[in-house]
Amino acid sequence: MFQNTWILALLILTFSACRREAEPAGRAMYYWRTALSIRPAERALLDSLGAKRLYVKYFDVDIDAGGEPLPLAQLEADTALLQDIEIIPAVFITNRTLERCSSDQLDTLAVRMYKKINELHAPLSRWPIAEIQIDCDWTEGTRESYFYLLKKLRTQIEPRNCALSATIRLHQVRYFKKTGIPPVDRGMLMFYNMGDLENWDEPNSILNIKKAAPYLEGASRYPLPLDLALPAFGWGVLFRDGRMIRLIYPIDEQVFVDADRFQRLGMRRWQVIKSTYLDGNYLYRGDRIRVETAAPGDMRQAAELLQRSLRQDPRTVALYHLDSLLIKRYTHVQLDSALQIMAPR
Amino acid sequence: MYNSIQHFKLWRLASVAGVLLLCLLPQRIDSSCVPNPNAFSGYSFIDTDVTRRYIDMAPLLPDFPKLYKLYKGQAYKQMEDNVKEWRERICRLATEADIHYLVYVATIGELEDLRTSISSSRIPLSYLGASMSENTFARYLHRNKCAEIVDYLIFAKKCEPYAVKPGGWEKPALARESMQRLIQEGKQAFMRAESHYVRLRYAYQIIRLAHYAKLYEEVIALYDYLIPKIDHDPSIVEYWILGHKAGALLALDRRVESAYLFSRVFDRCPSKRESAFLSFRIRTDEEWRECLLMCQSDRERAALYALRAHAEDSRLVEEMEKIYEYDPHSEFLEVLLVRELAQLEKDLLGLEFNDKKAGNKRYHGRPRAYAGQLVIDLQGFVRKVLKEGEITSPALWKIAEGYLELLAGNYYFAEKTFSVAREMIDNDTLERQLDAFEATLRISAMSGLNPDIEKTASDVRTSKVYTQFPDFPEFLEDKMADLYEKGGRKGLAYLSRYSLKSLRANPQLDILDDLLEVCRKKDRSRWENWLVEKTDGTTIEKELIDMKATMLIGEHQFEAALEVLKQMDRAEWDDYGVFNPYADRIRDCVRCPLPDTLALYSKGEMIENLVDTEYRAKAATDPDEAARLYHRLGVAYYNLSYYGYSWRATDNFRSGASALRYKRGSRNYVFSNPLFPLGNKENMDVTEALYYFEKARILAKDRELGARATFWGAKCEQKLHFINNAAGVKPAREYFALLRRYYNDTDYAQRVIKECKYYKAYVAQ
Repeated sequence: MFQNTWILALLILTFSACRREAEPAGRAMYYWRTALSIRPAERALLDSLGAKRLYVKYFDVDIDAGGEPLPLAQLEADTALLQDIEIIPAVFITNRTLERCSSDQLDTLAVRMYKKINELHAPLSRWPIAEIQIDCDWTEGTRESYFYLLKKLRTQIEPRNCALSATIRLHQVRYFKKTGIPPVDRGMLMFYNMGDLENWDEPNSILNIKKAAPYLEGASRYPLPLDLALPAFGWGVLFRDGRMIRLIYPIDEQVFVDADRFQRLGMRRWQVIKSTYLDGNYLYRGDRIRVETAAPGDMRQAAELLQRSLRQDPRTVALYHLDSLLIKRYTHVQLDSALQIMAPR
Repeated sequence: MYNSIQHFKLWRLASVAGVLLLCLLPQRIDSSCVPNPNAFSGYSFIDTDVTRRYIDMAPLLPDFPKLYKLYKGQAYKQMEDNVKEWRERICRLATEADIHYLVYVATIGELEDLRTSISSSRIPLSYLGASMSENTFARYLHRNKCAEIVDYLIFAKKCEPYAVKPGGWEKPALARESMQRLIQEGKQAFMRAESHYVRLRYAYQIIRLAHYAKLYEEVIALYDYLIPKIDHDPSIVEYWILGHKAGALLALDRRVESAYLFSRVFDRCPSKRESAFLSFRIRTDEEWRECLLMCQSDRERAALYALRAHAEDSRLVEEMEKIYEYDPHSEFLEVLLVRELAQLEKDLLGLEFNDKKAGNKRYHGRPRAYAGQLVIDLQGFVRKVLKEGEITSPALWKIAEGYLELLAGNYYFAEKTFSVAREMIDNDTLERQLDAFEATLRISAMSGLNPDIEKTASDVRTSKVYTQFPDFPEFLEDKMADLYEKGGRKGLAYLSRYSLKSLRANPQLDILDDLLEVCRKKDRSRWENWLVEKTDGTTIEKELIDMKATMLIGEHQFEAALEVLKQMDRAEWDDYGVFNPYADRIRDCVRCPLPDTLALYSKGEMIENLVDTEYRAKAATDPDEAARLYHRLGVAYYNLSYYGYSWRATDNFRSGASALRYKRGSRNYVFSNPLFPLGNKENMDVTEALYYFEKARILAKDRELGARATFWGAKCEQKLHFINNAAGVKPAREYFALLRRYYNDTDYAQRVIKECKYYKAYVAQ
């Protein structure tokens, strides 16, 4: 009896010694434009950061005038410079679609979405789809429909050995008992858009660590394994007559140096002094713009905060999102340093 | 007999299985039956008939949801316009339905048969079956030997499978070779066609094919090659073609040319207006200037500004001034005027008395901070336009001027302006609109409480226009409620806005007394009658008496409640429910039926019985008799509470969810409820019941009675623990301790162990 116990203990020791250390998280990026066309500089950035995955938005789902859900802004892809990059299809669905769809329509929608994803994926990659991500800022009113749709999608993709993930907003982590847990394999915590966007005095609605910290209090209890998306983007928040009316995206702050059209009001705050077009947006005299970006220092702080707060290490850490302005806005070192905390190389 | 029993059993089994199956079937997810509590709540009196003429712009006018409901979509409009144009071209010699059949429904085979019949005298039209031989369009084409048109229709049918705009669920049949073959075939047919109208239609098919095949350069080349070969004869098809050319230019990043063409389509082609608006792209001031330079007339320049004005959150007055500067007759001016009026109406109409204004501000940012300034700006523009007198519909602008004055609170000027507008009106639609605005003015201008006000309110309520606009009842009722509130008439204020039924869950004494006063008034006004009279001519007085008495019983003011009930005939007491609150049960059951043996009392009789019981308890010299009577009182108080089956005698509405929603320790028993504006009050406090059980327990010499009173005390203790203490505080269970220590050997305690799991668990500890 005594001998057997020793053998058992030895076996346990042997196997525990053989256990591999947890793999570090992989690096990824989001690509959220309709025309997928990677430029050499962007590919170089992906390579230099070691980002092997690209979450690409394939289409949006919105409802038309007749109450039928439709795929909008379908991806138009140029496959050049995409070799050796794993493409993860992402689909954004609007709440109003979920509000207005009956369960029959959701059944059909799940089938159509999966078919459309495959159709758009075929020219992009010779590899089968390993994961599909659904993006939706669901509310209490749309939760039931959204989760129903996810379940239906899951039945579509499960036999094909494909995982289903969903984006998760911060408030959905904090109030998960109220907002519910989506029936998916993994969640992608979108660690941004945490400030009061509509308040002119908001310092930075994209990344505001002070405001984010309380939201992460419940993160260690969140039942779903979470991956992580950090912000690497900027935008202009347009205010007209005291009210936030639109986001201007992308935005290059250099345009505001034109003193004939813009007047500086303060730190990253501008006023339009002559009605003008700004990158397709018509601005009226008196409009005000707050320019926001995720500062590299804040990105690092965010990663450190998340490292302390999450229940388990993420499998993927992604940056949102890849475009030409990203390269202008951040250096390779800044991005690498933010990723290094949770996805070391 | 056996068969019938078997049959019954089978039927019952089938019923149960059916219900189960229904439960298992997937349920439709539909939230439409649940009203959105945060939806904007305001009033609108802009007539849908006034806006109906802008129906093609419905997707661009989010403030007119009714208009959008009437809108059938761009594709429908295109189809409708197409059929109409065909009909005009053949001098209306065929019906629209028949043209629609041939153009959109008939198969290529049917059209080929028609073609053969036209060219062969041996195949009369009657050989082709009713769908062709009785079709007026087919007969026209046959009679006039219009082989060219039929050939074109056949060609159009061949193009149809490829004319699927990319973007749907189905993969577009982008068979570029087939499409190019069709383009070539179309070009040849185009050259052969003698009719320039048929040529135009071939050009449309060919250019559309090239566009959908993403052959953008070819679209431009085809346009430049084909269009000069067609004699100009105005047709909507020209704008469809222009739309495809604009789309191709946009794809080639020639934004300025594209924007210019889209603005022309937007201006001239209602069926393509929405897509032209969505495709219009100008990125810089330079591009805008270039685009303006491309315009060949002031109308085109005005259309360009109109396109920009339709963007969400545009500054409409600024854009309208530009449009007016270029083209005072532009139809877009009227659309934008009505759109801005609707916005300002949303901001300002009834703001002082809208009881949902807090939600409107919080969830919808209404009124906008600058709404007042916008009214002033728009007033300035409207007055300028009216003074210069160049616009097409001055009556509409005059009515708008009056409505702006109304929204600004200048009722005197609004009245004057409306009377001038009345003289200018030349059609029924505007007359109805003016009627509605004048009624709105009459309601808005009411101030103070006097008989004239109630007369005005009654007059408006019985006017024709009141029934034509669904928002009038709420607008008038909210206004009257506000006036009554300011005049201290709480009952009338409440009933102006809400129903009597909605007061039942939490009646308020001041509201009830005010309404009782109105019911008993001899010279009630028409408005007061409308509020308190029932359809049979009687008033709501008795319902109010019952409600007041019920409320007082709930507050345990029995004598006061009895006095109130005496204000109605004793014989009528039974009409308001009969009860017996004395059933002594171990387990609570609010919905269990009472035993037949128990006598039932009306509320008044019940009170008399309770008062008498208390008197007898106090007067009793035998301690056990006193204990029995006190226990009986305790049981009654408990059963009349939220937890007892006689709750209806003290409360008109009980929600099982209230116990779950109760914030422990708060002692706030009023629960918000969408059905009841004052919430739903529950009688959860059982302190007085406990008082009587404690008296009974102390007095009782009979140990069975003592056990009984102690257990009921434990029930009250448990409920009071729940309402008095925050979650997590351990219950004291003092009465359970007493029951176990002093009465455990009684029959009653043994029964309690069997029936009450709490006590069973307590004893087992």
